[in-house]
Amino acid sequence: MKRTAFLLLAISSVLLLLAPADARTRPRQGGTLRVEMRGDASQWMNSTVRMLVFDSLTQFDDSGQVQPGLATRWDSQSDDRRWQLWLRPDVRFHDGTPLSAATVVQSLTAQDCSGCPWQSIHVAGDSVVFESETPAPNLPAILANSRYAIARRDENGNVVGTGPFRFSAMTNGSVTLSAVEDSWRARPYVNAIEVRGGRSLRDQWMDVGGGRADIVEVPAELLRRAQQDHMSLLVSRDVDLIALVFDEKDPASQDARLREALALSVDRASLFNVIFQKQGETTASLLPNWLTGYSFAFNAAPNLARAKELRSQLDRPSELTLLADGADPVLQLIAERLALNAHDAGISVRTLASGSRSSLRLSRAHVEEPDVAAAFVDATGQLSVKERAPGDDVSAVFHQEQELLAKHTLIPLLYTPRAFACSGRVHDLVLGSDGSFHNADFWLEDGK
Amino acid sequence: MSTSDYNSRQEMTCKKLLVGLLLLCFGAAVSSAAAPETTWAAASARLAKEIANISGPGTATLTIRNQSGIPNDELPAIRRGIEAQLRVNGIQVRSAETSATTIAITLSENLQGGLWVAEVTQGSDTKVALVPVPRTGSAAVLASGPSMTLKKTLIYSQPSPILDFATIHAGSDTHLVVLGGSNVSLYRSTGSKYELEQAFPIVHSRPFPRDLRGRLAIGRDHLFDAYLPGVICSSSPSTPINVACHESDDPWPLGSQKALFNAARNYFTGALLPGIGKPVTPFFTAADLPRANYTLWIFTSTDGTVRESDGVNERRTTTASTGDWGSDLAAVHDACGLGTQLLVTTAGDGADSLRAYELPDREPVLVSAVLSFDNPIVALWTSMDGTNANAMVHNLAGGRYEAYSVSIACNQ
Repeated sequence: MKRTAFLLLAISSVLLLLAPADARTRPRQGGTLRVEMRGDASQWMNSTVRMLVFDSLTQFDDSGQVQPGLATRWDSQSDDRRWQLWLRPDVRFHDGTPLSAATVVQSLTAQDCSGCPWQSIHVAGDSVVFESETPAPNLPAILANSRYAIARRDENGNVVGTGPFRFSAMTNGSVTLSAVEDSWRARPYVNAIEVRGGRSLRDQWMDVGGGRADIVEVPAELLRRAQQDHMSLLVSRDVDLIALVFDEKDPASQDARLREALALSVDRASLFNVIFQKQGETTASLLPNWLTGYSFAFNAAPNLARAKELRSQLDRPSELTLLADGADPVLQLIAERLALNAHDAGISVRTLASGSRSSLRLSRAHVEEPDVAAAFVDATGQLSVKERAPGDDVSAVFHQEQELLAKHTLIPLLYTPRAFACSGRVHDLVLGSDGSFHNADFWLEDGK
Repeated sequence: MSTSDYNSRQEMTCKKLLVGLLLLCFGAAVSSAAAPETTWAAASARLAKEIANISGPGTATLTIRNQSGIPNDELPAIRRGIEAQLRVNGIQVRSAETSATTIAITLSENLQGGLWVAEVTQGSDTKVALVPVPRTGSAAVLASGPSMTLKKTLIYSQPSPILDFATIHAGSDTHLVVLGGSNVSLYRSTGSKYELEQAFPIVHSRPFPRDLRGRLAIGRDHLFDAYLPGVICSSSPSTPINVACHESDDPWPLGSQKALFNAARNYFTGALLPGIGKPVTPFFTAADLPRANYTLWIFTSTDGTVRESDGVNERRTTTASTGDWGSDLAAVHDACGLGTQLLVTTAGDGADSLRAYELPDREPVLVSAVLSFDNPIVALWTSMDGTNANAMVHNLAGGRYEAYSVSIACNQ
């Protein structure tokens, strides 16, 4: 561990030498942006570059307002049960196929739509109509989610989109995305993006320090170290939630007093201080404060006395089993600390690294939409918590969240940011509000 | 039924714009777009009503904390306003000893704007009321310095990018033309602000390139031409004013020359008409500095260098003198110094600045103090009459784009 820390320190010290140019220059054309990731490069469609290849019907601007994407305008009828979105003309997929209402419907019906906020979609001329049994006031915001990005398969079976980059090749664990010359969003400055997978963090940091990579991963738990080492960092808002979720079918989870006692035993501050080195924020709220402005209204402080009191009201509480993905060492650490917190309150928790059944599980969720109501729908969906769609104003979302959390079946713990280290030759690369790359305005100093 | 239509245009009739067209002159306007007047009264009233719905009439203690961008010196006024509105709703604010209800208000904010959160506690029961509050704006500040002084005047700001602008004085009226990425807009000054008269869409079939650039120029027999990549939009010669766009790769006016712009990129190709004698490499911006017997041209090339050319000799300037120059520069003709100064952008850490240079020989000489902008300068052009520079700035905090007229004041 010490050796790794020394190596990371040495690598990041090299980054100090990669200071950006003093003068602001207009963007230059050309070059290949080299991205490295731990995961398999063939899974690039689930990575941070996904939205450089695909477009959604709508998108968010910097202030969180819904803006046109592949749809230029929309309106709703029947109390937001019927939405009609008109498509942008003259847009083509990367294989040359024109974007049409039929291709949009085909794209959106091709995926598993059990959690989609509509019952049916159909073509209406150059528009698409969504219909639902219950009002969906925030449907345009939900459609900005990358899950609803518009895609189709070309004649070779490759997935193609309408974004400024297209899938070009996959060789030796690397995926190449090429600039689309006639992109409706305008051609990107760089010629290509090379995504190299299967790289350990150590190798990634060595590569960016040695000028062999431009963008590498910085996990939240290593962000403080990267900051102290003055690495050139891109850090998103706090967008990744870690939460405890009870399995409501598990017999040991049935008693609300036990659930509340466990919630009150959690010492979030120690998780924040020790594991995440004070990066991110502790939270007892489902959504981050930058998005809602109200998360402080949910008390995140532990109350061991009250937890013990509730525990004492139970005759013989069952042992709780806590599942934390064994392949995620951070979740494992958190689980061990939570088990200790619970023990202090007199609650027995046994941690599991795998298994199909448990009393509760540690889960991660990612906030993608900068829209409060849409983010609520998305986050509860990711955590497999069944909730109706809230109203589209912040007060309605607050009260629905308050109602949900009062059941203590879901215990939010922490929000953390997403971060990347970048080389000095990269300019104007910005992270979207969800911590991924949406904007192809980046360019390279040397254009190589 | 709710409707969102992002393609709507404002079409109004311009009645007076061409009155006195022969007397047309261009210059900096002193009026600026005022930030909306901030008031907390509406938010206070709504929050007080929400609180009263929870607590009912009676006495309460009140605490207010600020977790937003509202200046702390505004808190006393906000507190007075909320207390007054609570009284209107039957709630008297008292000390803790005499009240069973506590009201804890947090002035918070989220991505969309402000959010005032009231936590109303009665016994062990706490209920919460939330009231969204519009985000407040910020005003521009004039900057000044010693010796030859650069002065900036905020002319206009809007949420979408501004590529160039021109102020036009016609008789007693002052008008403003704003070139954006999708519209050419005409405004009329009311003394304190500009009011929209007409907005004309910029029609183009090919996508515009990233880092979109564009500039306004005086028309030969009409008010103005707007040059964009592959597109020229021209105003009509008579009232009512209309603007028509057509696809064209005609060169853009650039000082005493015209320069071909690469319609798929963000730079000039290097082709100049009628030409300066020597071939020129592709460049972002150029400025001409008249001399007694020739014109000295300065180019910021796309390879990052700054080049000088007098039509016979071309040379790359030394890094020591121009190493910190940005891509944008503009020549300003006035009564100071040599009569023409070169305004050059320089980047700071998220805040750009302008400096004025003269070139008595071939080496740039700094002749002004730094004029700082707190944000990136996204475009810089010589104004249509040549006596000022137009600086377009992206205010990162407010998210708006601002148009400044930059002038030079001589040594006092």
